[in-house]
Amino acid sequence: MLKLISSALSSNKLVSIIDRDVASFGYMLGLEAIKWHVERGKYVWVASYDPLRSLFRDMDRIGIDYGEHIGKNLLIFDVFGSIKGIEPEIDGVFTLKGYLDDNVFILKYQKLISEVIESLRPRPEEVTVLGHLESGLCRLFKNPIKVQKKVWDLIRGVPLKLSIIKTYILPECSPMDELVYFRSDLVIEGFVEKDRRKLIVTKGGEDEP
Amino acid sequence: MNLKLGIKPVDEELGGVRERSLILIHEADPRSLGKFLALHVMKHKLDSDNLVGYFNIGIPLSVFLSVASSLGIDVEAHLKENRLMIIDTFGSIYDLRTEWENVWYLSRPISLEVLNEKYIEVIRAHKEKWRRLNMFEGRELWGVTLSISDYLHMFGPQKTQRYLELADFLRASSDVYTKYPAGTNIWVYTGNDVVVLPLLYRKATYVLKTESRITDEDEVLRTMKIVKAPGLESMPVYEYTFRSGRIEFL
Repeated sequence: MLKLISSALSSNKLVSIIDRDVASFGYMLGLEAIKWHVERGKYVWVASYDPLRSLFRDMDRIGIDYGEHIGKNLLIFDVFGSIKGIEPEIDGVFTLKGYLDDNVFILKYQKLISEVIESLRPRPEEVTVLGHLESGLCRLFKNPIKVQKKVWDLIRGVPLKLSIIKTYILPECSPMDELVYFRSDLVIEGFVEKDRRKLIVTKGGEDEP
Repeated sequence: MNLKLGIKPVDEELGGVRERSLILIHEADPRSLGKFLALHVMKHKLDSDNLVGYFNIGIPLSVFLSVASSLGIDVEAHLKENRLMIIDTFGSIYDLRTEWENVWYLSRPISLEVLNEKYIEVIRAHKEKWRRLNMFEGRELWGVTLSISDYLHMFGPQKTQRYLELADFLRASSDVYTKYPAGTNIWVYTGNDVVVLPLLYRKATYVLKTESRITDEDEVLRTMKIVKAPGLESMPVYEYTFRSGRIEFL
């Protein structure tokens, strides 16, 4: 499965992983997929909708040495911290400051993207983006579906080649799969069946019968 | 007169669809990819030199353009050649504009109360353009809407229901549909609700319901059921696959 994701990312396809059960943990594949890029010094942008400490814990479990890469080639946008007003003050972790609502968030996020791209030396040709647990939008915003759509629209103006992977825990934000299924080139669903965790390709796999 | 839809079971079993009818594609779950049936028809009609009005309700246009391009729909070329027109409701409401010819935006402020009149205004202006360019002659006219269910997220179910009832009334009496040719329409609706969906099931001439499930062999099974069609008593079900951006019925 990881091979399939890596191959899709290397051809700049948009990959989404949807967990249908809270116990299926398919989203960890998203972190596994970026590990390779992080370790090779490639630029990786993680927009985390989960608290920063949860993200770090999951990175530890996967074996991503974030301490070594953060602020160098690993950049983290702490959406959760931005909305909750938590400023971690770690170099390489970005938060939005001041007043935020659904619309202001998008405007400030757009500005942040431009500023960060401008600051990167040397300027990369390609960036891998992980939308880590984007289903967290449901507990952070008034109209999460609108924000999800606008976040997906943001890549329009980015002057870099992007490989994008997004992860969702569907029970946390059920209407999110509509846009995911429409736009993603590759979709993987994680679920639990008869006490076993399963991951299957549900859109974009060449082996579809 | 019947028109080919480009969806094999509908064309073979029903001999196509009635001109000026309303076809509801009810995408019961997003994994069934019912929207792609609508885009498949759009591609088929544009490639055969017909006219299409695309109503973009709840998707950023940039997202629609990426998907269309992955399906081999050359939106830019079709717009340039005046075959395709787009009304971008999402961009109008959230102020995300693309300055392309034949992409229309509704003037602000926009609320469900005035939406009908604003659509009619734009449709009139574009139909006048098509008439002036003599584009109607020998061509079919199609309308594709993605998706009616987006109104629910934007305005809520009760307001959407009221809007659709009013739209029916206003459109029946508007010159846009009498002075100029009227099209055959495809509306996509995603999900299930008990306020708006029953209204659409009654209103539509045809209802195609798409569903998906994961089989015991861990594969995705996608089906389309013809729930409603003139003269049809049973509800035949057809399997289809989605591979490399193409819908294929088995």
